[in-house]
Amino acid sequence: MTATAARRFESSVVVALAIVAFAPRASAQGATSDTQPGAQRIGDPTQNVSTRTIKPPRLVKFVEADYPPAEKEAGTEAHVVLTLGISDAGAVIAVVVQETAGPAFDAAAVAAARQFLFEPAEVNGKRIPVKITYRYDFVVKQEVIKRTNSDFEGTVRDRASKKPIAGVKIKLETGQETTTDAQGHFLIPAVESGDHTVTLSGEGLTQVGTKETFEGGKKLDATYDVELKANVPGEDDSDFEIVVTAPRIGKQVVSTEIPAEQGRRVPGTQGDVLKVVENLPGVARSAVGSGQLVVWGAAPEDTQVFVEGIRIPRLYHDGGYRSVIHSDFVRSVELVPGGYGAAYGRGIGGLVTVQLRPIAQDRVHGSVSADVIDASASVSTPITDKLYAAVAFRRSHLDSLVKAVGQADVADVVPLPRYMDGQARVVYLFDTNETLELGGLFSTDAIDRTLVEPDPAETKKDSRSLRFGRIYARYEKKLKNGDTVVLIPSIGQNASRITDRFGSTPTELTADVDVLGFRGTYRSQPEKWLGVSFGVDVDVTSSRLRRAGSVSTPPREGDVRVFGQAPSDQVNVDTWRTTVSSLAPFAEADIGLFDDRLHIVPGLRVEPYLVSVDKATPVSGDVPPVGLTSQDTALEPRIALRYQVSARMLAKAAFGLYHQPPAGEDLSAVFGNPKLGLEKARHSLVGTAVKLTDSLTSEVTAFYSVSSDLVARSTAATPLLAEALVQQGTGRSFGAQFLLRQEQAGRFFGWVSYSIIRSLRQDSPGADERVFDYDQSHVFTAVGSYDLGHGFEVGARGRYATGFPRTPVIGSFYSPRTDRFEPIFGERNSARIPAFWQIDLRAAKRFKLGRTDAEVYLDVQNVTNHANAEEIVYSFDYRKKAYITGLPTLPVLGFKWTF
Amino acid sequence: MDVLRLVAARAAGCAAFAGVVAAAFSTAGGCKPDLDQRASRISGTRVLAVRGEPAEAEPRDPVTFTALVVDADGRADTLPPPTWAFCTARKPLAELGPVSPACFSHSPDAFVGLGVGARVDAVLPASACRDFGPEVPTAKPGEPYGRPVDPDPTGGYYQPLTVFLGGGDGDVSVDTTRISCGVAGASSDDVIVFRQRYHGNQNPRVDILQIDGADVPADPTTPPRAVARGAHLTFHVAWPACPAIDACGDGVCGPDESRLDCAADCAIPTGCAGAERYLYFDAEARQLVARRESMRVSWFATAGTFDRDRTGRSSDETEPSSDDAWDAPAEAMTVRGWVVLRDDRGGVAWRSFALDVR
Repeated sequence: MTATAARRFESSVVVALAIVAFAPRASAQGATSDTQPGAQRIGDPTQNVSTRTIKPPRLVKFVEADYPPAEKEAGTEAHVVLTLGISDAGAVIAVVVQETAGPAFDAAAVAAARQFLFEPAEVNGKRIPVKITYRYDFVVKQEVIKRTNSDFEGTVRDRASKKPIAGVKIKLETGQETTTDAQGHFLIPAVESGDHTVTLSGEGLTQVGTKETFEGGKKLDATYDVELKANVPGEDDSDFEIVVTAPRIGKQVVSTEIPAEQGRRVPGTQGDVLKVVENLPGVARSAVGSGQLVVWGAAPEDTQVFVEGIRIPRLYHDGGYRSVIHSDFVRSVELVPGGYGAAYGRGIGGLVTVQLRPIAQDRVHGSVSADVIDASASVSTPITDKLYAAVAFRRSHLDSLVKAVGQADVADVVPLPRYMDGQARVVYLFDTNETLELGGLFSTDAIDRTLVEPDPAETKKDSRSLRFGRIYARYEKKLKNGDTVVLIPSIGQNASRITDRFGSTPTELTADVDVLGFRGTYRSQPEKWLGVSFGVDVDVTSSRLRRAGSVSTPPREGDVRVFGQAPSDQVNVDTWRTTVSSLAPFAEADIGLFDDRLHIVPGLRVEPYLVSVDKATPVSGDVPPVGLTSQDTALEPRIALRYQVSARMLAKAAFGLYHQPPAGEDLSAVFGNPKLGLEKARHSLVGTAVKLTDSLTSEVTAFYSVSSDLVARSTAATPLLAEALVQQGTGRSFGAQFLLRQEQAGRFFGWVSYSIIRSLRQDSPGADERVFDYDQSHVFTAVGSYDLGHGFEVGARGRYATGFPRTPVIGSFYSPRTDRFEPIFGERNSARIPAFWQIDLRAAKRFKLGRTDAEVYLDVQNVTNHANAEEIVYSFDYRKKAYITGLPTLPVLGFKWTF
Repeated sequence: MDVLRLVAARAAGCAAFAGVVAAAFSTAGGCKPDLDQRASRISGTRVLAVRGEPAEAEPRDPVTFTALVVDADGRADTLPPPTWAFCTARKPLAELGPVSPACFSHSPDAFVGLGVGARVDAVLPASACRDFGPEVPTAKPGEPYGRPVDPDPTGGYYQPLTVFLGGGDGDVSVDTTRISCGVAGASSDDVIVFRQRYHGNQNPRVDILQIDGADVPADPTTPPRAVARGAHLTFHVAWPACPAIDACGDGVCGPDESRLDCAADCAIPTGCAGAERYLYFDAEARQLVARRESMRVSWFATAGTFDRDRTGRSSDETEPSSDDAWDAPAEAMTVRGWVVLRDDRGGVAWRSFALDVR
């Protein structure tokens, strides 16, 4: 009961009606007394008078007696028995107290009874005056007063430091508004119930809105953590922007989200927000220079990357040195290793979702940054009061720098990445509830190198490139009832080229891919305890592919090989076209039960796939090619549970089915199999999250993932035509991940993550189960950053990871024709590269340049100069082996100017 | 071995960053392991080459195989003779190596014995083009056809041949001998033309081997040439120059000639003992094109150090020779060596030499 309600009491009267035959010959047999609901009959008027029909009077107007205030205050209850004289017109013409309850109760009862009105009694259809006995009960009944409004109270804090922020204006669309005080506190009383848009704004702030649901009579407590744009200690005049993360329906059960402000301060990232993903629990450490994402023991290509719901082919540029999205555009990055909701599909691994930062609306902002690897710039500006734009661009200069310092031939030997990326966004705000964004992004990567040897059979060339671009629109509207509609159509292209040559054996793979996507989502909260989300996710991927050269390269997961081994010299060629399209309606609900302690999030995604290939079999002679179209429908039920065991402990579990369409590269009739269908996976996970303090949390999650119909090379000595790949593989991954995370508390933030994972594969029925190529049993990461004050900051990162498995070489034989020794392998993946460990440090100094900010940082990798083994290499006859070691101590100096 | 330079370099960031930061660059060497091994150094008994005569033959044709087997002392003729066998196991697509693992597994089920000796005579199996060539494998009842074997970059197919030594360093060698199986996937017109104008490979020939400009006699019994300890010697090997354009009557049956239009050269097709031109079916362009062989030279010695273990000429390089250099050991000894010449269609020739280091 609310305080206000407690002040309101209402008496509830239980009326007892006794009818006594006024006429001695009156009969009440078969008669009913239609009194107020709950009336209690205390006398039975029925008498068996067979000669007359008696109809008792019926109360048609009841007047509630005024509860005597003193008695009500004292909680005294009583009853008064009255004799009422009722005229043949139904009026109460006489009231006599038969049984008193005291003067106050008597007077109140009499006064009320006099105002009663009856339908007259009748005898044989004739109205007659009667006298009845009436008992009036005075009962004090407590009742919650349903207020039609409620109070809105809360706090606005700095997201990073959790410190309160003063001067933030909180405004409702009803016109009610207030400003936070020095403690960041605000209170808006008497907000009408219903959904209201809350706007947070202030001088120098980016105005943002969110929706809150107010329930009459209940106070709404809210805490808004906002993100300071330039959180420089001691710089009180720094402007900042606010990001409000609205509660999301169907939030993933297991996910780790890192805000941009933290991500770019992690050592080893060189200020790149998205590189922080490598340090999250459940992520295997990728080999240096690979930039691959291995999540929960899934293949890198099984983990998808989305930018605001738009799928892109990669998160990192070649070499893994930099991500493909400028950090100034990134609000946060979230890793969902498995068990995600119905809104996403087409992948059997994890998810990486990148949320873009709202464009600053107050004035022109931007940055320029550079280090030894690349340089970048970004700028955002308001064009009108409703139109805003932002662009960013980055280009590598590592290769140019190497040539400039006189090492021009280095690029012919080592893979120096050459990349560019750019993003552009234009946002139009119809109002705070309706926005339209048009955006585009592109990324290009290229690596070319040639190792010319005197022996033509040992000359190697490696040339590869990947270009992709996306153009999208994002329309979002928050309806008056609080529902949200988001529509994201997108188109794009990917163009990849691989041209390798090992001696006379070529490996060429080109893919030109057109991508059409659409994602529409409608979110609603019809009840306080129920949120629903449904939509449609469309993807059409049309590929034109060409592959020529060795059938064994590019290598696949599961290949038994050693690093640097010459590819098989059996070659072929194929050109083919594929279209993989699917339209997936999905629906999800978030059911909050037991005062929101239990959340059940069931979801369903139904995804019919259409896969077409223009060549079902290899072209031979004069026979024209014949195409193939196949259809399959994936039914993907998913469910997630979150139970707030206590104020500080959350238990969670999730289960879901996932499917992944075949890659266009695998649908070749020569190098693959045009009949490949969907790969399948089943994710199960359970875990807990404990809030040890307000800013310190720990999470433990155990998972078990089973996959089937995995694509692998045919192991048959004589595979069937157009079945170089077969879909008989199964796999399972299981393990647990642990995260202890200290949010920014004062001057420190950091986390410790540990994952223990086992990932196994069986390539065909009956084959031995083997360790997955990317299996890493133990991955430990500790990250910390400390603000020294006055703009100085230091950070450290420590990592330990089990080495990747490798198939040992137990002997060799000589091949006179190729003049090479060839390895004889032992049990598949039964050995490992030695474990990796490394410590990185970062120091940064932020300072003011006039009214702008600047930062200089030094990121030192591998400060102990530990020689980490990255790969095994063998002597020419495989009698000796050694390890390629990774980066030596490497300082990277960078500069960033922000305005 | 040079491949180590590549694989070491592929420890991507190492030298990449090192190229930028001078100090780090100086430590880049730490990324590359030093296995201190040279493929040109003979340190035990091993097969250096296997030569089939003819270098390419059709199924059921006789072929004579000769192995060059040496040991660390340079002995070649006094070693226990190897055992020969055809391997019948087909290589799975998933296998990166040149042959099926069964071919070096000593499994008797996978072999057809050919005999024992430094030289054996054999007949190519009748099923060679079905088992290892473009002919469609026999389908099992009720099953669709199987996948033919893919050719190598020269369009060739190969019958595996295993050479077992009695022990020593490389006790198993698995060679492959080229089989003439025609062409797969071509139109009927191209198949006809290919049959007329593709001529079987001919083994190359070492015409000249010079050490510091002096010819090395082909006779292996020639006394060793004396050289100073630690001397730096140049090696030069040459093979016949093959015509770049076919001309009837030049003594070489080239890819633009057939017995129909040049009986003089092609009635009994005569090849060239150098970098031959040959007909190749370009499966992507779906047309027949003429290509030229590349040539490889493998240098071996029981002591001393060659500058390069392998040299050669790519198909674009027309020079019919290759050079190397060799540092004599610091100790006095007799050094024996071999130069093995290979074309990329499986043809092989070799020449031995001996040096008396004083």
